[in-house]
Amino acid sequence: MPDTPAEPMVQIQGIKKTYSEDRSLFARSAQALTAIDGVSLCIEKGEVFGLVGASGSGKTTLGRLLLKLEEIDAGQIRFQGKDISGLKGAALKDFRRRVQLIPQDPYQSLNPYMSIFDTVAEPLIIHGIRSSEARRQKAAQALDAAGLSPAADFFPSYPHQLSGGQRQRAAIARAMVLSPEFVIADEPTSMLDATISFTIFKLLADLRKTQGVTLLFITHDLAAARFLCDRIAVIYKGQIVESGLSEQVINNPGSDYTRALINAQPRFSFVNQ
Amino acid sequence: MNFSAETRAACNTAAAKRSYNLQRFLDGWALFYENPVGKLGVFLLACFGVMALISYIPPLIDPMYHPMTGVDPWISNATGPSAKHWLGTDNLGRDLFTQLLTGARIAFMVGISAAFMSIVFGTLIGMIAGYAGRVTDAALMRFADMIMVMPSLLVVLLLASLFGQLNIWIIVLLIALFRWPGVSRVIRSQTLSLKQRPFIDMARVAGASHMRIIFRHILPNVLPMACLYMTFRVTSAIIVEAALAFLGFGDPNTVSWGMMLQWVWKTGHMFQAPYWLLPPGICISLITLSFYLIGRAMEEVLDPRLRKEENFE
Repeated sequence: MPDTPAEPMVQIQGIKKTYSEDRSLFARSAQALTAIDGVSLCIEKGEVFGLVGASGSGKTTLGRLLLKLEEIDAGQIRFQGKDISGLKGAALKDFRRRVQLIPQDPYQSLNPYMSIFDTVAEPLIIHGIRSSEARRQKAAQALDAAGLSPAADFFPSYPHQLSGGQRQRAAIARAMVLSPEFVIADEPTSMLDATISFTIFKLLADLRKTQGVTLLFITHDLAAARFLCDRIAVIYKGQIVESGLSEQVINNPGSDYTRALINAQPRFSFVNQ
Repeated sequence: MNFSAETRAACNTAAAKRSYNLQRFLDGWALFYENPVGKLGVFLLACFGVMALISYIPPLIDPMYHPMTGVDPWISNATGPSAKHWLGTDNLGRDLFTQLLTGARIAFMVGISAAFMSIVFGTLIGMIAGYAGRVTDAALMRFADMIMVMPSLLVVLLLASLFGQLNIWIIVLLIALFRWPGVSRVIRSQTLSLKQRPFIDMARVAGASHMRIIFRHILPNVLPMACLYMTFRVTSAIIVEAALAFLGFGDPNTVSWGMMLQWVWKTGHMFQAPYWLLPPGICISLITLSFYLIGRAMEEVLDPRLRKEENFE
């Protein structure tokens, strides 16, 4: 849906991010590593946008920049038309309510000392939902929607008592509990096995349908991207080498890198005939 | 793994759904108690705990057994053990056994309160330094280094000679103020590694304030380490207090083991009254040993790399 008149959810213009090694007293020259090198993207409202790339291509960094976990060095990121670089205080908090993350590693992304209820309800507390009854209700809804039901059974559990897939569902519930408008899923299934991955993909597709959330899906898995995404951008060494509708990119790759990426996929009979 | 299904089933029953913290504590305790070192430490500590508790009883039986003011009217010089005075009396006719019992109480009081305070300072400062990073980190850690290299005993002695006799609580506070830097360094390094864990990013994404991240997300994760360091701080606090008291800078209104040693020395009974000299000395060694052993065993529980026979399934 490239020509919708509505304002795009996210607009990225020529952003750069370099990491320099800490300049120590004795180091001769600080080596700089360019993680993101002039990326421009546009994510429309309501779509699922796939960001595909190999490890080290800068896709996770891009996610972190969009989440304002790290600051960009150059360029501009606009969220719903507003530049996010100068956000502070209440405006930043509002941004935090609207943009959420589904993390990569469900084993590391939940605080081991917090129960599932505390984990899911924490964003509600932060964003000022005072009544504990309302928190319980919202947390239960989010857990149900994420496929952990009956929710009340999971409230007192701790992350170590859950399986990987259940943990990821809890993380998704936590991300969705504030009904965000834009969610970044950073390789949400990289630590899960294939069958569970598939159920998580289906869950994400459902959430998009039922809650109308805009999703940035970061992955190295082209098959998953094709299953889930409307549009795809392929990132390589911090630069977007190709973008377009997902079918188009996968069936008619325009760049050598995308072709290499497609060829690197394990071929099963049901992929590409 | 034939037990995993049962375990999971057990976990899913409502009754077995204990809090994670409690479960971890119980698991840790089981491991701790397997260790003979930990067992010995707990046994010794329990003995001293009993001593501290029963120290309240003798003065109730007869005011003569009061550790400070109770004087046996029939005795006017140091005497050896007898049925009436199990460890003998000092040169004023005060009962040494009651003094020894009271000393246990004072040692616990000094050791635990000083250690607790230094842990509170050390944990707070360590978490703030590790979490804030940059200038705050550098400033706090250089300050910690400065305190760390100060000869604490000397400084306390100087203060004592400047301000006269120090109250026991002032001594406790001084010990705490000199003993936090070690804790803060450990907690800082833990915080540095925790800060990189994804759940801290998740908290930031949710919009959590720095306070919330420090106290809700980092604190519970560093607390076990802080507890471990507390046992080591108890040891050092007891030793510092004993040293101060022995050197004559203790609180003259309390009966600590250091004070007992000082009285032995001051009245010239060092080599005449072993029944007076030895018990407090042995007690100081044993109570520090017990905390040390407990700390060592706790360390093994908290740091899996130190466990000797780990059997992986």
